[in-house]
Amino acid sequence: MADLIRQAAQIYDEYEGNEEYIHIPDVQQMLYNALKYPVLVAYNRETNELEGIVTIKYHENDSKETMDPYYQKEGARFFSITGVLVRQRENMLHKGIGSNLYSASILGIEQYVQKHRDEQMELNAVIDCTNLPSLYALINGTENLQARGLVGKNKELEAVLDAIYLVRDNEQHLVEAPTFVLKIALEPKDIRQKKWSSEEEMLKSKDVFSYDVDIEKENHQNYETLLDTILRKIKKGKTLQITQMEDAGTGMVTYIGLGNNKIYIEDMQLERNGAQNIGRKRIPRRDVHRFVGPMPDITKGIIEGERDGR
Amino acid sequence: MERRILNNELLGNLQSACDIMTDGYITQTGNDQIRFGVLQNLVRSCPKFSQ
Repeated sequence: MADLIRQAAQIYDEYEGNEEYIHIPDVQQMLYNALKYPVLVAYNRETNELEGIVTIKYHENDSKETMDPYYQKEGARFFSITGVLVRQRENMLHKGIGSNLYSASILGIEQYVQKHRDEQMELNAVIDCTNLPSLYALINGTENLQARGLVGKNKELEAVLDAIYLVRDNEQHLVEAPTFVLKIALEPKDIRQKKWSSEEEMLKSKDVFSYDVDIEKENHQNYETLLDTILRKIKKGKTLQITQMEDAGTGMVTYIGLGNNKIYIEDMQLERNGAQNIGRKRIPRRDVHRFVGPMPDITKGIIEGERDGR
Repeated sequence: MERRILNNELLGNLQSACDIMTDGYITQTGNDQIRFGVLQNLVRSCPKFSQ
């Protein structure tokens, strides 16, 4: 399994799905990420090939200047599970890798945070509002932890839709589909009692996001339609918490927090009706081989003991 | 703020979680080829990975 960083960049670059679903790092960015953040992988022990990957970023909003535009909460210290990527195999041999990468990320962070409660660290995952495979992989990932009793007997980690964010350009056009910010509580709670007694009742209790798109329209117009659908669903007559800040070079980011109007992720159901086709299909850069020279030792970035500055 | 978060304790917790997922994946699917792991630990356990 030679040169994991190049392999990691390669598996990202092979992605040919909707380019809005995930930011694809090049080798340099992959190297930077691996020096700063934990990266989890799934690999085939016989072929030595990577089959899945996820980067868990960390940030502290300790001042207005350092606030993350995509998690606009003052003082928050948070881990963020960025896009989980799984190599697509025609035979579906590796089904379930994505949800297990979510499970491993959540469980590992939960175990770490339990020993550092005074720091009040949070965990979120960000997923494009039309990215049904990732949302369902996250739901399966949290249910896996609960079903196996990995966060305690009859315990679960509450996962909710906590906010959405939007990015607009200078003309006030949305530049991408709204993004769900899903918060995973790190304090295990007793498993929530289900309110339904039949499958029919269960289906009725779902929060269905049923999108309506017109492929003839401009992308930004369709994004507005997606936004309208989401706002109708999350508002429910209550007040939303709206803040804005600029992400230089990208646009104005509007962060819409749900406050107490939380929606449990297992209750979320997406009816995309073609919305997944709005964004462009990604074309691989095929530039991994262009990175020349020896790869720096990424293990030098690891602190041997506790975190620095603590 | 960009504070260094990579430390042995965090990577150890994540590796333990990955090991649990590997065991579960084999049990669920019967596929014993797939392993879950922390990239930094894989590099560390076999330095030639990063050459």
